[in-house]
Amino acid sequence: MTSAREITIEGLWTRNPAMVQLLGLCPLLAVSGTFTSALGLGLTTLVVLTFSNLFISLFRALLTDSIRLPAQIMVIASFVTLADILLQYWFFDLHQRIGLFVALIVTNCTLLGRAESFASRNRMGYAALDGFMMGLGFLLVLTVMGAVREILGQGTLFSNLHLLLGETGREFEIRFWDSGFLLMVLPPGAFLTLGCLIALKNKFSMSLHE
Amino acid sequence: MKYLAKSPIISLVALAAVCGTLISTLHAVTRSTIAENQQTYSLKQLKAVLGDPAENIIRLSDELYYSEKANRITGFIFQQSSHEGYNGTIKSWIAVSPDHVIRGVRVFEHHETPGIGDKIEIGVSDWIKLFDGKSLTDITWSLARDGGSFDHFSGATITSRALVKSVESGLTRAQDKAAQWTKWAENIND
Repeated sequence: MTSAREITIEGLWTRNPAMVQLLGLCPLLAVSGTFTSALGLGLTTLVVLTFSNLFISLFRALLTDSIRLPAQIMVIASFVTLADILLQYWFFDLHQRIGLFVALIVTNCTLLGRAESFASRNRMGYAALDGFMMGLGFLLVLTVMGAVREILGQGTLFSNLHLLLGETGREFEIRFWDSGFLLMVLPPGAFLTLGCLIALKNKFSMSLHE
Repeated sequence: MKYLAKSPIISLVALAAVCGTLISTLHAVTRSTIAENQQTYSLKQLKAVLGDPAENIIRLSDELYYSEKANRITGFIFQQSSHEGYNGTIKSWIAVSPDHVIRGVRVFEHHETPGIGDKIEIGVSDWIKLFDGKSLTDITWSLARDGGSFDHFSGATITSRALVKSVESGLTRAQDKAAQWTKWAENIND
């Protein structure tokens, strides 16, 4: 029987969707260019994942084998649409920037993976917690990558945070140097950063086991 | 629940109905605010296209605005779309002065490839500023590689070409309609 503690550890560390399962690479690589867009898309994914897990778990008695996959995709797509509408409602400017990738959350395999392997087999509370922790694990990796790439690629950190926080967000921007290392902004920079993160995680995990 | 599970189609339809209801309810509730947000966002962008905070921007229609300063029309800002993008429609605002010189162009909606074709956005690259100060007569409206006056940005010839063509046809349209638009703006003023 799974416990809340196990679910938490799995989502954040041992089965982290981004660093261990390597799921959802498309958004991971595409929006990790700056901290702000990483945070925005990470939070959206987290919310969608939590609610789609909850919803699928709620209706799991209905989801027989023959319709499980289409039903799960439909639920996920619906929640992504809801999130998309809410983003336009609250953070229109941010939506202009990351809106393209919000739709891609549907294709983030983390969501279908969790729906299939966890939510459709577990009680609602656990399913929601699993969605939340997997989402948080994804969000953490995404924001760390966003921060690293932004610092190295643009020389700034927390730029454009006003898109999320309103005008006070402008004051958070930190400028380290003026020109950045272009490669880090481009897609290869995302692969390099992710590779380094995975290597660090593996190194750390191994030293824990010794 | 038990009964429904025996007929998968019915449960799939029921689930679809629940999802559909959720989405349409939220859409109905948020629609007007989202439209307002879109409007505010567009106006902010129009101000940025002009680059002069002292000018007033006044709406003529959803796709046409004019700017004025001290009761004199300083130009028009209109929407222009191109269907020749790499991936669907590219929509932009074009600001022209009364003597048909481009004051600025800003793309506000497109589906070009992120990281490659999105350099037409001002937030990504300054390429779009190449159009500033240009008019129909003083240059050749095509890419340098086609014998024209505009450099394309690498990896996205189609996107760049679509935009050059779109701005050119926008400028032609503005020139053709100049008299009509001016009259319209003056009538609104009265």
